[in-house]
Amino acid sequence: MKKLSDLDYLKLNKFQAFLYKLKLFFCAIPLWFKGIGIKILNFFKSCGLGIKNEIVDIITTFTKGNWAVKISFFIFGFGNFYYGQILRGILFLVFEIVFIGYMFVPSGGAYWLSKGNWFNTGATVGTVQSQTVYNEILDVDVLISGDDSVKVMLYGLLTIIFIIAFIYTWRLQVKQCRICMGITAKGKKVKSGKDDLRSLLDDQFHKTLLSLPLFGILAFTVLPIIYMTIIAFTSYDAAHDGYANLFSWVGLENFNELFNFGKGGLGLAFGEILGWTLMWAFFATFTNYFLGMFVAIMINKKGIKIKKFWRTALVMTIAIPQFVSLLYVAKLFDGSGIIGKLLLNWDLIPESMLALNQQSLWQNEISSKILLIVLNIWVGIPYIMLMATGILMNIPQDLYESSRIDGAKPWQQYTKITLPYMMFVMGPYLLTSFVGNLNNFNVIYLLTQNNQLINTEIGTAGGVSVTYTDLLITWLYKMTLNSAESKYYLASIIGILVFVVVAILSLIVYNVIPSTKNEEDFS
Amino acid sequence: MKTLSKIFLWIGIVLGFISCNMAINLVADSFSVGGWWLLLMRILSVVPVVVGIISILKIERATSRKELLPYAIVTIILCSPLAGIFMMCIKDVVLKLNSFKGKSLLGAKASRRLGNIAVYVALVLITLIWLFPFFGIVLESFRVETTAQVSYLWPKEFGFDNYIRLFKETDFFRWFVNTGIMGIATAFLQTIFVLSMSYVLSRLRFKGRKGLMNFLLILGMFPGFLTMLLIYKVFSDFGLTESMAPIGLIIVYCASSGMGYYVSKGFFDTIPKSLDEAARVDGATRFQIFYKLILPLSKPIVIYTILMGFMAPWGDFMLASYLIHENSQGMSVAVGMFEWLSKTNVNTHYTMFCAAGVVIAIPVTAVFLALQKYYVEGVTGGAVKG
Repeated sequence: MKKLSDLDYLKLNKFQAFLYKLKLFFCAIPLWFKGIGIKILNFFKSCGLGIKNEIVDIITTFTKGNWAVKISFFIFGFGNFYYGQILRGILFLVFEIVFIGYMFVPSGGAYWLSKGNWFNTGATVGTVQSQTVYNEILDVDVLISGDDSVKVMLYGLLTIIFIIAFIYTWRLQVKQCRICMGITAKGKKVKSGKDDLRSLLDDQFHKTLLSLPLFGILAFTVLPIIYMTIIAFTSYDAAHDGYANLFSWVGLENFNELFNFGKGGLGLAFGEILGWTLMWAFFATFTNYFLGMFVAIMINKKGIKIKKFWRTALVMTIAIPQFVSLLYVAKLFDGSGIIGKLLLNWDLIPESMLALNQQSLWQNEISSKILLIVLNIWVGIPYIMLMATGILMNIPQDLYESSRIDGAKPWQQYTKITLPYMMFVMGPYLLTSFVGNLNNFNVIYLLTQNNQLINTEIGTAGGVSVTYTDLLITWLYKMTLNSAESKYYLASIIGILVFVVVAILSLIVYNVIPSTKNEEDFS
Repeated sequence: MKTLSKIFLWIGIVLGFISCNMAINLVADSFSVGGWWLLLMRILSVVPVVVGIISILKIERATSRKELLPYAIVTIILCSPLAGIFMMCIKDVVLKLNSFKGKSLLGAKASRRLGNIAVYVALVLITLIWLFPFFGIVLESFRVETTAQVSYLWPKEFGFDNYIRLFKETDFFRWFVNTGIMGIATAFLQTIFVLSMSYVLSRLRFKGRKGLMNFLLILGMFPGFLTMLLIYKVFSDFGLTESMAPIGLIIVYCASSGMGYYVSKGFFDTIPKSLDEAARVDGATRFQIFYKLILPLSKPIVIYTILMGFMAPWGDFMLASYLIHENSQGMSVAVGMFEWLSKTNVNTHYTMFCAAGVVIAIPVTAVFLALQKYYVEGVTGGAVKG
């Protein structure tokens, strides 16, 4: 598509200019995809290059290193001892001994790995099935417990992670030996254990601070997420809970259910729920954003008194635990609640709803969805109001002064100064709050759980009856906790899909908003 | 009665239509709106007319006085914007006169005051709407005549029955203590986790920093609660579920809290880098900078983080219900009270729910309002960058 010159562009009328911009936008899409493709290619290229470099580096270290370096290829920390770094040497050596000990003791790492039948389609996870056997002496059936698939998988996973850590440590200490060799060859002194400890509070301070939170994240988020992803390839559910009944590897079979678009099929349910989830997240984010900003502007208007009172009144709603206020508000709009009764008595509930015996707003698909978005405004505005207040105070006042002198009206000031500034500063927040709303469990579940409205088109999917207002996250929650079948493998698949959707959306938004591009701009 | 209300409605319709159009003129003039938007607004100005006529037709068919009530309200609503629009019209006339004669009648001050009155009206309305549930909860908690939901707000009999029942007949006290312990422990631990994470990512530069941030961003895109499947299995082996769930929950709330570093990182970002550099020149180690220089400057964000940590267990339902299941000894208030509003319990527990809500809200709100200054500073300072 031909790009117009500035002069030609200015000649266009408004409508043509709009069309032109639209065309430009659509023409840019293939380029954009191409850019992403190149990025991915480059990523793999650099990965390959990195691995190649590492291997070359290891080989040269071995061939050019002295005998101490060569020995430390097999005995961890030997080079450190040789060059006088006792503390590091001990740590490396202990790590190696622990690793080898763990791998080869009975029921250690090797045992768990061999039990797992990893990704062997059709085979069970764990090998010994629990059985009830008749015991003649006691004259009762006794349960002889076998393997627990959940444990087999968990320990297997931990062992794999341990092995990776082992390889990494091996590489690390070999590298350190070579560096030490270089330093001593130049006649300088290597770092002592004391120096190491001291640098933990100085040069390496980030390692000290990060160790605790990162360990928490690795153990309680990364590991479970890897585990959950693997579950998608097994038959883990209530009937195969791993203990009474081993579950087995099924390969990609579970993913077939995704293509079931019939009534109660996973594909249909996922599509419907995803549609509403996206709609919900969009409206919940933007209604809150604009209305919250509006309220903030009103409170911060020149000449408005007792600003603190208005702010406190709104902030109070943050202080009350959400489940109390949400459950109460849900009841207010209930058929027997105060507002629900008022609506009924004043004939404000449409007759089409009454004809279907829908006595409250919660009992109709459309009205309940609108009500959720409206109530979410009630929940969300105080937060946005507070943030917007902070940003409004940061906008340089002279911008407004000079624009007023130039004859700008309040509306123009808003669209040309306030809004762009806010957008720039709050762009990342909008993204995170959009993702947060995709997974907004509290608002949806607490408001609708006692007023369930079953989606008749879908019926039961994934072992639970789907309601019109279910988000993916509430669906998942019910699937794993409220359902008798507890199809964990389905939950896992949907979890993966949620990740894919969120990742794609964030990627797009991240590339569009300006403020993510330079982090340092605002410091 | 009918004729009277009809007369008022006709007045409302005429006035509504006229004032709507005047308002549209004013808006179009002062905000330089034109074309399609103006047409759309003009079409919208027919709405009060339509509503009014429908009301008149309905009044015609009404049989009792009670049925007239909604139409009275429609009348009031129709006439109520009149006041605001009337003021705006005056402002409009004054502005016009000003431009004609070149000197002011009411002056800029007066016209600003008119605008302010409109804002005050809006703010009062907003405040009423936002605080309504709290007044509702407090009033219903003192209701004695019935334990079920009713369709009126003001209790017929006041009393403390619900509060007495709350502590005598249920495990509420136990839940309350559980949640309180969880709140205090989480506040303490989470602050350590979050602050160290955000401090590192904000003020220290090291290899892999960007990579770590991207990794955490991607990690946050997984539906976090799926991790509970495995955590529940492991914790139940260690006996940290059911009645011991509060301890398990503390671990769950704190362990991954490092992922929520965004707000406090934003706050740390706003402290000038030159402070660090000056201290470095004077020979301070990075630990000393953190401990002696930055932490004292970051009081708002520290308190904000503590506050958030304290309030997390009070509001969380999803994770808590996962670990607790149905064991009354280990419940937090959210999980325990949720059942009270289920279809089977609501008629006996509704007012008690409100009483419990008040009991919970008192400590949390007290802490919150006492520290509100820091909360506001933390949010406004930290969230600027999201």
